[in-house]
Amino acid sequence: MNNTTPKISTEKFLELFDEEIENKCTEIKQIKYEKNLKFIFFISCILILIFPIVSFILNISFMSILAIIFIIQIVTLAVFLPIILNFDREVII
Amino acid sequence: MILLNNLVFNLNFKKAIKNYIIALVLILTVFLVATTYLFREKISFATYYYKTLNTIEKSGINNNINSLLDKLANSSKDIKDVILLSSDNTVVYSSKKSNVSRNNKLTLHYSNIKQKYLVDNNNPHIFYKLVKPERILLSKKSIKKTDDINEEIQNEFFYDKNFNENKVYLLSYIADTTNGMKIFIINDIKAIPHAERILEIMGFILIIFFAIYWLGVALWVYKDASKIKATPIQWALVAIFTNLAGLIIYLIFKQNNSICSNCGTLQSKKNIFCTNCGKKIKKTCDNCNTPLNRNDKYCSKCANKL
Repeated sequence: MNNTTPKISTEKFLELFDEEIENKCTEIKQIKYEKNLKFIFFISCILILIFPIVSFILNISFMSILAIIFIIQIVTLAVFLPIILNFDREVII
Repeated sequence: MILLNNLVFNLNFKKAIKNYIIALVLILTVFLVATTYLFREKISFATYYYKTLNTIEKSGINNNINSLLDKLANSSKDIKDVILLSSDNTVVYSSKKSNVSRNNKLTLHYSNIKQKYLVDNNNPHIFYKLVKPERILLSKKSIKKTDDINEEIQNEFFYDKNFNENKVYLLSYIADTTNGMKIFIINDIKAIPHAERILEIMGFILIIFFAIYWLGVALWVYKDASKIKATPIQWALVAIFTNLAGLIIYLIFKQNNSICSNCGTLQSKKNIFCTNCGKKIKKTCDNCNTPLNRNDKYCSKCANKL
C-alpha cells in the first residue's frame, strides 16, 4: 500500500495541537471554575432560605441581623462604588 | 443546579414581584391588626395618658379631672389604681379605690430595707418602683413573664422572708408644680397571654419574606446578567452576599456599558461593533472614524461638524 501522508513523530504531532490543547484546557478550567461558583451560589441560596429557621431556633435577634446587613451594605457601597464609577479603568468583575 | 437554572429562567419576575408585594401587604395588615388587638389596652392607656397630660398642661391638676382619671384607670387591667393626691399627700380621689389608697394619706419615702423602692409606712408590704410612663408602655413585662423589671425585683427580694407577702407595683406620676397636686398611676403589669409566641411567629414570617426578597434580588441579577452575557454567576454571588448594594453596583455597571440592540449582550461603551454578533453599535465620525457619543455635535478628535 502506498501511503501518501507524510510520516511525523508523535512529539511533532502533539506540538501541532499544543495551542489547541492549551485552549481546551483553559476552557475546561473555566467551565470547572464556573461550575464551582454555581455550586457556591446554589448553596448560598439554600442557606438563605434555611437561615430564618436557624435564627428562629437559635433565638437570634432580628435587629442584630439587620445591623450586620446594614454594615455589609455600607462597606460594599464604600468599596465598590468608587471602582465602578471609575470609567477609565474598565474594571471587569 | 439544573433546578436553579430552571427556576431562574422560567420565573416571571414582574409577576413574582407583584404577588410578593400583595402577600407582604396582606401579612403586614394581619400583623398590624393582630398587634393592635394584642396591645389594645396599652394603646388605650397611652391615649388616655397623653390626653390627661395635655389637659393638665392646659389647666393644671384640679378636682375636675376625676372623670379623665377614671378613664385612664379603666383603660387597662394592669392599672391597679390612679390616685389624685393633694400637696400634703392626702388622697383626694382614687379611681379604683384599691387597698393602696385605703388610708387617707399616701406618703411615700425610700425604703430603708430596699433602697431602690418607695414605701408607705401604713402599707409596709407594698413597694413601689418608680418608672417613667414610657417604660410601662414599652416594658417587655407585658410580653414576657421573665423580663428585666421582674428579674430586678426578684433579685432584690429573693432572700426576703416575707417574699410572698410583699407586693411590688410600678409607679409613675404627673405633678403640678403650681399647686403641688400629684397623680399617681400604679401599675401591676402582667404578661399578655400568648403575646410572646404570636410576636415570634410574626417575626418568623417577616424573616422568611425578607429571605425571599434577598434571594429574589440575587436571582434577578443572575437572570439579567445571563441575558446580557455579563459573567452572571459572579454578579449573582455579589448580589447574594451584598444584596441591595450589589444590585446598585450591578445597575451602575450596566449603565456604564452599552447593550447590543441586535443580540442583547453587554458591550463596552468604547466598542464600535458588537463583540458577539458584529453589528455596528456606535456612531462614528465620517471623517476620522472616532466613536461618538449620542449628543455630540462635533467629533472629539477632528472637530468635524456632525
